[in-house]
Amino acid sequence: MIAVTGMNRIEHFILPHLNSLYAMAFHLCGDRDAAEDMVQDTLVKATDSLSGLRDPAKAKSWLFSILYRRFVDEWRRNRRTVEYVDDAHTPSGTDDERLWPHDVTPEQARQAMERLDDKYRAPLVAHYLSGQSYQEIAETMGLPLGTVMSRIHRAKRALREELAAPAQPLRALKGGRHGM
Amino acid sequence: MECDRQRAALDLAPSRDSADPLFAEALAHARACPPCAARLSRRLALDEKIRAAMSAVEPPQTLDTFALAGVPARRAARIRKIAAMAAMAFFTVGAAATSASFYLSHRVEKTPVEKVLAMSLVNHRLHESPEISTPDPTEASRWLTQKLGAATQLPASVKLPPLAGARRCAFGEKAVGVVQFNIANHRNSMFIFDADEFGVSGANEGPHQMDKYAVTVWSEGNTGYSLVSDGVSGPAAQLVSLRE
Repeated sequence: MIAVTGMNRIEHFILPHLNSLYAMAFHLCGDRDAAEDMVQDTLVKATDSLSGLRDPAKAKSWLFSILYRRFVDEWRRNRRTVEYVDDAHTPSGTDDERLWPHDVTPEQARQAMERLDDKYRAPLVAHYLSGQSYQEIAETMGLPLGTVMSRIHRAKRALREELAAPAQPLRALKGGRHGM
Repeated sequence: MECDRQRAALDLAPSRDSADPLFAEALAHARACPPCAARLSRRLALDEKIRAAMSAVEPPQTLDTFALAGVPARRAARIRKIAAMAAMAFFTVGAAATSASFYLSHRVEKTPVEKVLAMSLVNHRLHESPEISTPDPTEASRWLTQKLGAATQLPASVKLPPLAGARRCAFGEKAVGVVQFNIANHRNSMFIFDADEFGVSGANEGPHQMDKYAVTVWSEGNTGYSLVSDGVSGPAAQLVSLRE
């Protein structure tokens, strides 16, 4: 009976968010199969700690934080290079709002996100899809709040520029994978 | 100049009404500065469009099955809970007699049966609609064989009523066949898979009661079958009579 109760909790608290979890995983890792695996890992972990979910209304952000933490852990394990990044640097370009796009298609969003380096894409995906605050994102990533905000700021500007002129490469923010 | 100074904070403000003190000064500025207020509005609207576009990723059709099936497959503790539940049901429903050693023997030695039970149960609960509607078992078998790329035989030991249809599903990472039918207004899903692949060759278990479902697992030759039925009284008896 306990297991069925647990299964009911999974159905009520987790299943409604599966597609959103998948979208977040997909934008984080840029690969459909890896995204599916990431969702499955998240479910395994969530199932283990489901009893710790005090407020069902926060199930979505709770799940997203599990998935995001899993991504960050994976990134830390695979990190090959440590590079100095001047996060306080203001990105080039004017970020002219007159050039901002009027519409954004899923494919445009996917391509633009794909062109961002991990260190910018990860906090930006969390910002857009997880519902986490800047502080929560910073805690998950183990970075100072100011660094996270700076990266999201730069990533947003780069994303807007990319969406406004898709043909232009994101030179300033493309440093290769695992460069967080 | 003040607009430039507040620009970064305004570009990061989560909303016009954010209570975060980090943005208090910038938002106060925007309330008094129409150009900055307009930029903030446009930026928030664009963010919403980006968010919607990012959320619109099409997930694979089998995402829920794949993700959920992975839970029992990869979490032994969870499997044990389900097995324990099945065992409790066995001891409760004496009429569904097989062997009194079901719980212990399966818990220790026949985890594959428990896995199949769990995956079948989860999938049955999640999916109601067949991919193909047909009452004809032969047609369903032919369709599954074609779609799965492997011979899919319906069991000889079960007298199937007219079907509702057939569909595919995932047991872990493997695609398996399902035929669906109704008995006395109770929905039934019969899963058809390679018995060796899932380690259930020679299995002949059930029916068992798992919460509000009746479940059974068995094999015929190289083919494994699991059957999940809504309801436990009438349909459970029907399951027994089906497997003469």
